[in-house]
Amino acid sequence: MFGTKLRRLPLSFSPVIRQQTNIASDFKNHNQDEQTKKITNENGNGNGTNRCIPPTEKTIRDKHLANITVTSFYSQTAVEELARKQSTRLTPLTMMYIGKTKDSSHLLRSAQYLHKDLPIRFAHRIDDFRNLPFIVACNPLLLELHERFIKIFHTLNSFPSIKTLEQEKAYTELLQNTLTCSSDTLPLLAEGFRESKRHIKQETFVRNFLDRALTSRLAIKMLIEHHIELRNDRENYIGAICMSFSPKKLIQSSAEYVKKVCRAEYGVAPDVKIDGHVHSSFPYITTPLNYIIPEMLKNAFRATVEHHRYSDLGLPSVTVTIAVNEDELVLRIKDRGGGMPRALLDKIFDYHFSSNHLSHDPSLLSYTDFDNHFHDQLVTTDNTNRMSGYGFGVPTSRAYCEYLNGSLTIETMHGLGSDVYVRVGLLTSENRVVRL
Amino acid sequence: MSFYRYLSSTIKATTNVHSQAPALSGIVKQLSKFSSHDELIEYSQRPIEYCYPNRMIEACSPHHSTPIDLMKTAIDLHEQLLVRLAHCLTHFQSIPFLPGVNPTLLSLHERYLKLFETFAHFPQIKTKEDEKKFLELINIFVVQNNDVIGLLSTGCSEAQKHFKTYKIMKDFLDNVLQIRLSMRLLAEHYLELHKQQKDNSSEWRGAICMNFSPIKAIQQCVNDVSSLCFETYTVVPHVQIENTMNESLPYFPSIIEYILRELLKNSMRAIVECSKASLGNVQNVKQYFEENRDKPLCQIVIASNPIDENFTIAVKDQGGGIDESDEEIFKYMFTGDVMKEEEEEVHMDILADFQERMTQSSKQMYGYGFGLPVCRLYAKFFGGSLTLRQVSRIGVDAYLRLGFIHTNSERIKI
Repeated sequence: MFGTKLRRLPLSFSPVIRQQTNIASDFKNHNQDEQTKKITNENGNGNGTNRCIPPTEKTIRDKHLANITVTSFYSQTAVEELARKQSTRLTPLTMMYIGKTKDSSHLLRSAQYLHKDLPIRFAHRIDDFRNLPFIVACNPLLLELHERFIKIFHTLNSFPSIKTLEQEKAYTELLQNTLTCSSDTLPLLAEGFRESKRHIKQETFVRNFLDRALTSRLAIKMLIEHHIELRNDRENYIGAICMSFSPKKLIQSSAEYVKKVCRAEYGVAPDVKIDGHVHSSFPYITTPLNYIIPEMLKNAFRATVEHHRYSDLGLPSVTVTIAVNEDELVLRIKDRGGGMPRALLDKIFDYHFSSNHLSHDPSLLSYTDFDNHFHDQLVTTDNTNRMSGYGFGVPTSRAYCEYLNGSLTIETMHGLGSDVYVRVGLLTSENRVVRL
Repeated sequence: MSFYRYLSSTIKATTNVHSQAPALSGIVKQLSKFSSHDELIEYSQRPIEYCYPNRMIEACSPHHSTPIDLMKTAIDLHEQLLVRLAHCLTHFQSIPFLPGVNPTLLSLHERYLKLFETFAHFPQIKTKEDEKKFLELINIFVVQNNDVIGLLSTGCSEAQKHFKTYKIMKDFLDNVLQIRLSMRLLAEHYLELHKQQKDNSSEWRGAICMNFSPIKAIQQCVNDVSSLCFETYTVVPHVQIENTMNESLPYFPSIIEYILRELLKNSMRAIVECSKASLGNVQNVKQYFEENRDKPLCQIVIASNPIDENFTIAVKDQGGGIDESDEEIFKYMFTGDVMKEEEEEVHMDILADFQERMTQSSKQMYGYGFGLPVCRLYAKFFGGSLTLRQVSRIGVDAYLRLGFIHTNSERIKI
């Protein structure tokens, strides 16, 4: 049974999977310059529109892993060995002030750190896979991911120790490839768990696994991006850290993007007002916020439009308040989208696996475990008119916030609207040090 | 030594002992009466019988088959209070000795003990005269205990360092305040029922107002706190109220008024002090408030959620926020930046003028740091919650959720 599914799925899934992309990367491709496009190019198309990507892209991406075959999941001694070690988490201070040396030895040091630490992180991830219940782990998509991680692990682990700049260059290319080929991890994880959720008895187990997997992926992505950027001497940037990050600009660009999506779907879109500490700017790595802000705006927009669809008064705007103190950045996203009952509020933080009606339909193209009332995350679809998704936006955002010493809370007033409070720690905080 | 001399010396010795003895045994005597009390033990071992508001509403309904029998209500209340006072006293008895002998806390303990004894020795209510006497007793009970929160806060602030851990003090305060609230509600309910015997209005069923409209109560609270704010600071921030809850519902008005007043006091104080700090002097602040009437610094939003059987009142202010974690803010005794006030207090003769300060505390904008924890306790009591969401350096959003009392889900018990 699994065998046939395995053969069928990769082909039928790839169009679907390619579309379930990280929205952030699409809109980023609008707004950032050419240089960064290749780093964050999650789905291979740089133009923001969605189209079916032919299956061959998948094989092309994996080609540098093609020379490795995983013969056994069981005996992976290197993995076991490294999984026992602790990974070293860097503080942004270390990253920022690693200093630029004339002989580019800072690149060497950075590469050496990654060379040592990335295999450990991947080993931990593989370990998590190995501890999944057997039936869950045998899901073909999860197996594929598992196998891919092992391949990546070996590629990274077997790279010789870096002593010269040429080696460093090669290593950087390897890292770049790693990023590209693991760009569809999120959809695979989502779909894989969705299929096998009926076998999982405890909700918290899934949440813990996914929280760890996603935050670890975020950290690895940020570290690799940072390293790659160290070579490019962008103004105002130290690696991936933007020294004068302005929350207002990010909110404005996210709002523009989400408005487009919303208009395409509903024909209308509410305005976004920004208040609070609008002129604040500080050093920050924008990667996590690039995901969180559009997701939250999407929810707010969707709620607003659906609640006021038939009213002639026009759409109330969504207000984003920026507040910064020494330790954290707080964004309060206020909408007038009618709020949610308590039952829905509880569910919104799940990776949508506690749904009451189990989907017995193996045709996993039906995203609809949740009806339209659920304030899901919007993931752009091709031509289906439903706003639907994996239900990952809110729980993932929360995992990211907590990883950055922050939190994500939602207060809702039934019949009126909801306020989402996004808190993330600042890189320069002394009391709550952020470690990647 | 001659025998006579020996005798005189021993007599002297014993008289010395005697002259010391009264001083010692006075305190010992005073405190040992708290040690054991049979009746108290018996009552404290009985479980509390909870009353459900929806049943209370039904029982007091003019359409009910059996009209309210005040005598029976009095007998029930008598029993209820005995059991609850006993439980309350056990909480006093279980705090460590040293904080327990703090004069304020001890006097409160003693008051409750006396009350218990009065109720215990009150004869069985059989005639109308008995019931009348009982009514008087309850009246005294309610009036006398208006200052309990103030007393507890003074006592605890004095004895704070003697509580080994914060948790002991917190549990003690939570328990005592909870029982006090329930006793108060029941007593007031009984008193109101008596008054309504003559009135016969259908708007009230005992202490429950059937047509309670949150917006009206909140408007009143805003007015009250505004005048208090004006008296204290000579400026008042404008408050905007947005109400989407047009229906009225049965509720205990005193609860909402209490909590809203506390929240508004906090918000207004924060707004005024924050504005003062950034604008310099009061004149500028006044001008600023006037100019910004359309962009209010304090907003109240009311919404009802019939699906989850509760309603929410959100108080959002732009008072600069509090740079402390949630846990800290909700601690008893946390008062924010009131440095000057504390210094003054040290020099005052506390015992001598606590009475004055008790009555003053309701007229003060801030005080002992009991506002938030008590409000949260009350909100929980009514099947709800009080959550504070901070927007750093800008303000605080307080969300008060209270459960409906008239529904059959019986989640709230008194």
